[in-house]
Amino acid sequence: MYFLIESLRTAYYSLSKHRLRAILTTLGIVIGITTIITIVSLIDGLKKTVTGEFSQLGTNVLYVSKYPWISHGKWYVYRKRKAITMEEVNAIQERCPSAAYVVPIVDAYTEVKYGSRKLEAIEITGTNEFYPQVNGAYPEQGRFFSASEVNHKQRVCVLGWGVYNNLFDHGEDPLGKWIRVSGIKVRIIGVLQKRGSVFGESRDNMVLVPIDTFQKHYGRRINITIQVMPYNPEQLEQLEDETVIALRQVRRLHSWEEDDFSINSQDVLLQEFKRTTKALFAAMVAISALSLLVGGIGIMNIMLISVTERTREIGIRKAIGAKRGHILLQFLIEVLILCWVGCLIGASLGFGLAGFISAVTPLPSAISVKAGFLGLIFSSSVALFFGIYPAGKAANLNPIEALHYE
Amino acid sequence: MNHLIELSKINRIYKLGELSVHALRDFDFTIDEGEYLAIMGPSGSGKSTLLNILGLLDQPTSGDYFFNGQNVTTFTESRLANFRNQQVGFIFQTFNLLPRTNALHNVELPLIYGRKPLSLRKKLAREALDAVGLSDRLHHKPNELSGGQRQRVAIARAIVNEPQIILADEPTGNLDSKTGAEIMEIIDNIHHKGNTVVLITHEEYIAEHANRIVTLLDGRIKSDTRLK
Ligand SMILES: Nc1ncnc2c1ncn2[C@@H]1O[C@H](COP(=O)(O)OP(=O)(O)OP(=O)(O)O)[C@@H](O)[C@H]1O
Ligand SMILES: [Mg+2]
Repeated sequence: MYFLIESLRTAYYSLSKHRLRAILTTLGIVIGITTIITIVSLIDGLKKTVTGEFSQLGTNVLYVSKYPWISHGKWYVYRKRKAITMEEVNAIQERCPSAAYVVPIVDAYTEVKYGSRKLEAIEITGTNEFYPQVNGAYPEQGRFFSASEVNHKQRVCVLGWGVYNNLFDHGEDPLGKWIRVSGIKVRIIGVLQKRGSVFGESRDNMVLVPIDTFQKHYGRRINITIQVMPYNPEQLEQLEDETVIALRQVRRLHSWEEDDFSINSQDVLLQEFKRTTKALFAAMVAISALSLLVGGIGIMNIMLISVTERTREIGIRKAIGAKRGHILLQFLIEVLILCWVGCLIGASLGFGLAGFISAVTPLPSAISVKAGFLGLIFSSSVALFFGIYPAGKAANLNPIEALHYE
Repeated sequence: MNHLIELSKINRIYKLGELSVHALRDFDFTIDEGEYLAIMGPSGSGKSTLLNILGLLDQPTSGDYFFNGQNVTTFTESRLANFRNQQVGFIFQTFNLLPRTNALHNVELPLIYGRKPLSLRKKLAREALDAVGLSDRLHHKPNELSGGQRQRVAIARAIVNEPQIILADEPTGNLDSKTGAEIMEIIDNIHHKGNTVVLITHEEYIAEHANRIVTLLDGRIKSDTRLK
């Protein structure tokens, strides 16, 4: 213990005597640790928000649409596909026994007016009565529209929480009031709870109307996305198979023809995300391993110089009773301190850089203690591995020869 | 009959490639407890080689060395280090203090390797520095001290662990005669308190401080005289 303090003291002296040299030596470690911490912080941040947002899409929902969410650059193929219409919605409803809910969704952006108040670029969504169950969005006031209101093209609507707040004064009762959505008058029957945003897009700035009402105004050929939800999550794969069969039948595809529609799910995005982060992770491991290697060699080099410079000191210590282990430990502690100084600089740079990147780009970042520890353990092992040779060299010096070293 | 130190047929041969130097030849020698011994002889006669072997800094090529009846030539590295720490106090011509390290800490070093607790360490180191008259220079670093003061720090370091034997290799060799005389006074004092002292010197008047003078020539004893 006394000896540990003595080692720390000498390490401090010898490092502070050659401050610039020490800092240059740790450069490799600094770069390695900076890389580890920056990338792990960014990946962790991304993972946290992305998995959070993905789960808002519903873990248990298939999205049938014209375009795949993850495309492999074949947009010209996808563009030629037929739009998805109510025909497909009906086919899934009729032919998929595992489907609990089938919800068509069709969007447009338009203006909304109430009295003298007017909102621009509001998302107007045509859907059916099962929207709340599949999207977890329930009315806070009033009610959602019913099956018969959908089927009879009733001029009713449900407001998103944001639209309600912007059109009405606080506490004002919106139910039964009429608003104009791109010219047509619809009656408010409900207001949804606040839902927040997904991928930076607010889900409160919307007006929901029965899909037939929407299509009466905008036409029947606008491409629909169909949400399909099974009775229970285990049926998701089976439901996907049933959906593919139903759609191929209704579209009269021959067995040799490829699907001309895409079935997406949160899982697809998650897989893609994992693939991307894996590549990032591999790049990080490569860069940091390389720079830690360079750092390790740098440390070995500087320690060899230090041992030579301090040969006489080692001789003195041995003459007054230092054992081989004392000298070994003294130099290993010096190596570790050198490495930890590098880690500290690297960690500050890494967290700073991650913070900076997430401040100037939309990428989120999370301070990862795990990354810090990982870097510390990793670089300490590297430092010890490369430090053991010079330290051993010092420990094995013959006392007399060391004392007479010029 | 029971000698503190007994050397029997000690040889020390340095190998320099083809060449080999026979620094000590079939060296038989004893030192008793409480002796004050001066070693003299021309340059290259083997004085430092003998002293280094006595202090276990160096090992003989052949022969036996008994210290208090124990054959120390069989010691492991760790026991050798312990021995240097506990039983021997070295004083060098060139002081050999740690640079950038103040007097107090230099004197504490043997206590650190001897695993003495901090409070005791400080106390013993201060006492040792007090004994050599340096209580007012505790926090001076070697480059802030004169040659004589540096040698005093080195002496304090040599005595702080209360070793059985003090080994001094030309302790006044780098000092002017007045400072040298002061240093010799301190070494005489150490001897008066009961320590065994072995001292290498080229100067008759310094050798006269001792009560036995051994003269070496070509790795052998040329004369061995007891004074007083
Ligand atoms: N490390 C060494 N390698 C080779 N030869 C050595 C070594 N140390 C001493 N010698 C040789 O051994 C002999 C005795 O050397 P030693 O240092 O003991 O002499 P000394 O009596 O102390 O001389 P001086 O009065 O000059 O200090 C000399 O011939 C010297 O050259
Ligand atoms: Mg000599």
